[in-house]
Amino acid sequence: MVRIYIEHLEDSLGRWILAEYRNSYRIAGDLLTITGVEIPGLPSTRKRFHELTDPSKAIILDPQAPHLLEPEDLRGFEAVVIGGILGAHPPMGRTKKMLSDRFPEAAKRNIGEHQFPIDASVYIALEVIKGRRVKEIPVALGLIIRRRIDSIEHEIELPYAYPLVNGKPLISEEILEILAGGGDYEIEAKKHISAD
Amino acid sequence: MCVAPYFLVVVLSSYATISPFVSIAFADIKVPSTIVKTLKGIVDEVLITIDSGGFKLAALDPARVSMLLMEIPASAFLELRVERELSIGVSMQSLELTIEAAKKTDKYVLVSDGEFVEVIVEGLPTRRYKFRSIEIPKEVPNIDVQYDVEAIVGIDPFNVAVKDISSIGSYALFKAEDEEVLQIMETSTRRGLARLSRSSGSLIDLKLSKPSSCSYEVEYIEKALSLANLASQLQLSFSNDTPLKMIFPLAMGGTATFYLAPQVG
Repeated sequence: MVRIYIEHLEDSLGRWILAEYRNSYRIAGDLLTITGVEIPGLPSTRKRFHELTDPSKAIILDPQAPHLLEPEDLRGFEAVVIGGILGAHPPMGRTKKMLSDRFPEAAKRNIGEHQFPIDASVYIALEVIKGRRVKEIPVALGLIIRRRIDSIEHEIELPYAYPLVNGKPLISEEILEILAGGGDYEIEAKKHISAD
Repeated sequence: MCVAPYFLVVVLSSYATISPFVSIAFADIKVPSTIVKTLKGIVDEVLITIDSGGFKLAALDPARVSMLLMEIPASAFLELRVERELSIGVSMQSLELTIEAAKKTDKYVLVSDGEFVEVIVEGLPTRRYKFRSIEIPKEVPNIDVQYDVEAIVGIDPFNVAVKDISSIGSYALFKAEDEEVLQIMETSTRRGLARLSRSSGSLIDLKLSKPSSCSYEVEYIEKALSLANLASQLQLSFSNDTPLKMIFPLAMGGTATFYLAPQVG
């Protein structure tokens, strides 16, 4: 079966990216390897993905790639590689600069025009590996987390895309804890679309 | 791709959920965060007035020991829209919350329709806080004092002097006998003496009508010194048994003036 690699490309390993890596492992289980950094408790290694698999047998998920990832694209390939990169709004094209351009022999595909968190990308890659098409995956574009702190109404707005799993946006409890702390909150999707 | 809030390349849309009469965008999050740092633990609420001239803030602590008055001109803001002048009361609890998760790269926008105040901290993620404006008396105590000592000091040496004194005791005695030296020391023991002098460069100017000395609670001075973040100089004024007046000319324009009552007894 095709493996999923997250190639860690940041200088540091912050709380947020770690939460996304942990959730990625919950989603993909043993199919996942995080490369470029060793993290206790997660399937990870200091080796880079190209030291573990032939780059010409890998598909890099790059928002700037011209073609959408389809299940049939995976035939003959061993790996899907996702950039472990911190976000920017709007996107800065860092996956292309830091990953795609360095491995011209690797295939490149996108998973739609919107930016996804790492764990969401892992979920979509896994669904495609299982045979589902990206366009069949419903997506929430932009999330609003609402909570009340005494008499103060508090909203946190995330501008990214989140696949819907059983009708709910895929966002980990750990990320919600970082953003909103404890207590009650409501999550609202700003817009529903399909991933492509 | 991860959504961690590290880079903000463009300003996100700062839509508000209310139809505001006033809207003000701080170019630097440092300004609201410094205001919060200065006033946290001292006051319960602040009065903010926004008109076409700019932003005014008045905060008086419940014991009426200290007061902060701030005025920033319209030109210092990224954006200032005024449909009509508004004075709004904001609790420190609300103000503190808006700053809690803010990052250096965030943009801080405050809007109000008079009934509600909404703060939008734009970044990754964008955070919005909406709360009711509270009733606060609009009259600010008028401190009409003739000061006998007016000094301009370098912020760094003054900061060091205050820190030294705070490690010794609770009150700092300010003393000027001529126009060359400003002395600051711990009140009861006279230890921790700092001599801010023209010759050392730590005293930039001093005008003296008559030799004066007065003692003030050092904890408040330390809090006020958070405003040094926004200024490069400090003007100090005092006389015998009068409030201390600390004026911070703000780098962005405008001033922050902190008044502190003298030690009683």
